[in-house]
Amino acid sequence: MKLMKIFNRDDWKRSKKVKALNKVLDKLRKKKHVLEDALEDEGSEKKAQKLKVKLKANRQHRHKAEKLIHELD
Amino acid sequence: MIRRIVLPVIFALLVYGFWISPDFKEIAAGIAIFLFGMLFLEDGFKAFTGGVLERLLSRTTDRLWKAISFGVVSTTIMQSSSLVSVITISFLGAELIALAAGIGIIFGANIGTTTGAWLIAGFGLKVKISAYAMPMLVFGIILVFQSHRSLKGIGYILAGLGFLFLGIHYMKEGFEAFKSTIDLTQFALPGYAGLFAFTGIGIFATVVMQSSHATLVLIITALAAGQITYENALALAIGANIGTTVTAILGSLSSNFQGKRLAAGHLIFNLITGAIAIAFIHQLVWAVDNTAAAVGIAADDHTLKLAVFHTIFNVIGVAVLTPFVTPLVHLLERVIPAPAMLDVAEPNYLNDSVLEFPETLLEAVRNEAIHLYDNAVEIIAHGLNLHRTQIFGEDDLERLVESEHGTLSFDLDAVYERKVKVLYAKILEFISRAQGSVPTEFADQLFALRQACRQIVKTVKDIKHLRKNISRYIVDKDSDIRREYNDLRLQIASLLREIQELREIEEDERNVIDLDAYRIAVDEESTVTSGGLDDLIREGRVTPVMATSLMNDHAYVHDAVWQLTDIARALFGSRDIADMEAEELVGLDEDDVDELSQTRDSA
Repeated sequence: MKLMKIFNRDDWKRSKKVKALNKVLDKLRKKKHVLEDALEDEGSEKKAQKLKVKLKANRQHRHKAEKLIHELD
Repeated sequence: MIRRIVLPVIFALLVYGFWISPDFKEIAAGIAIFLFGMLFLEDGFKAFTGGVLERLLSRTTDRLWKAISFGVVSTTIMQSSSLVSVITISFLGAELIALAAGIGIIFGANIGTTTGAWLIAGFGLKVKISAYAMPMLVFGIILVFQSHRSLKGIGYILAGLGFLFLGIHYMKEGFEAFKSTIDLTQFALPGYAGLFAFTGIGIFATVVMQSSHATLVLIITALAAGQITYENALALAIGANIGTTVTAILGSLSSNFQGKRLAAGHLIFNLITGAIAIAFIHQLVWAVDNTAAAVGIAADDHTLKLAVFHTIFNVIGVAVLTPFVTPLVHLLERVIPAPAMLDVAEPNYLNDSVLEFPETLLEAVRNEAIHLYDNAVEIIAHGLNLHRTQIFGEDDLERLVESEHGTLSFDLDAVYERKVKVLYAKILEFISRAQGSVPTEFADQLFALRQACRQIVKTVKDIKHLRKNISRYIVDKDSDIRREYNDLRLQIASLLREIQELREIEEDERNVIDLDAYRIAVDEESTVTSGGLDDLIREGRVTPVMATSLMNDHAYVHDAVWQLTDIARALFGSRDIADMEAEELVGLDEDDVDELSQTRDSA
């Protein structure tokens, strides 16, 4: 049975996809911290607004990645 | 003219040979079957070039010794220095490796190819090789008819080896039988006359057969049958080594200047190695005798001693020339210069030598698309009345955009024709030609690159439409419309800067979907879509004509931002298929951006 699973191509493909999504998610989490730190230090209102938009996009990306990983796992 | 004469002459000689001697027919058939096997073997290995081989090759660029080792190992495994040369030329043509690394691989391939002589002399002649050939052919041909690419590849390799063995068998039999009718050793030439004459024959035979491997098999089987002298066999081996460069030269004809440099480097290396072997022939023979005695090869085992000779003189060639790789690179760069920068953009990476190797082909098309993007960025930057050095510099972009309001004088249409349109047409033509030959797993990526090129052109056109009003309103006395247009400039300039910064990050670390924030910002920060424009009209701060222009131009900027983010994903995103899919799945599409906008509206 285990051997069958090893050779199950769909499972293999799914785990590869999950691995790739986790890689993207890791990068997004790192970026989130960078953006949050930058926002704290930002003095200009216009630039702070830009950082907030970046954080918003980052949140949406993470949400999508987590949802996809949850569905695939 | 010469070509027209050579082929009929060779045909006439062969027909005459077949007529007077059935044994000669057997030898010639053996060579033909052997060469057929080589073709099969090359096709088989090409089935595996869409990944492993190219990845390995691309990793052998940092150190010369790694490049040489790669040349030795790959040629030993594939038993074809020609295939390794052609792949290296295609990589160099696509500028995926440096010339020095390419030369290193060719040096290594020269050593690797000598293993062929060892295999034939040590194994091919000592066992009944045809016994192995038959099952290989049967299994190989069954696999060739399978639809799976890898199985087909294995089939070609097995059948190729089968044909090689069968060819060697026929050559061996032919020379054995030939012995009873004619003694070819009566044509043997002693001394330097023989050395030069047989080196010339070796060159000619290899040029005709396009395979030093086939020439060597012929030499070894003839030597084993006592049809040529050991001394002349050594000269023939030197000739075969020089003649083999013709394959690389022919392969480089369809390549760019880099491929031609490598082929010239190959020729120089083999000529110098040949000259060393001829000049020091007596010392080499002495070294072969001593080495053979040391490793237990019998003094009269001339076939194995020929293999020792072949290896020794190639190793000496590599050892002598390796310290001169850098001067050799400089010499080749001087003798075969890069084509002068033309006013009209020409493809830098697209050439027919990459067509046979899918992964190399993708890299070449990607690099060319990046070339197109870089040309387009120049037009986009000037269209915004900014210089690329300003956009990619470290100055605050907001302040820069506000301060730079002079109109850059340049003919956008003319520059577009010269630097984008012609190049785009050539990329399209190349992709159309390549599409029929690439395996399905690469077709999607090729299509994505084609789309990216289309979007590059479309972005330039959007900027063209935008430029007229930018030039007009950024110098307007009305501060509101001036600010609105500077905001549009800022949106695109910031995105271009961020794409440039992304390019400088290691591929594993970069995340192209970070650019999606610009897809949100282009609408969220715009007066047009946030309702602010109505207020400006109501308050009489912008005229209805200005507002109409602003609405149209915002649409161009919106399209340009979405296109540029798509372009960045295709050109600078991950190259790994799984990672690419993950980026695509997580990236923000129009529905996501709409959803985020509604959240803002409701908030």
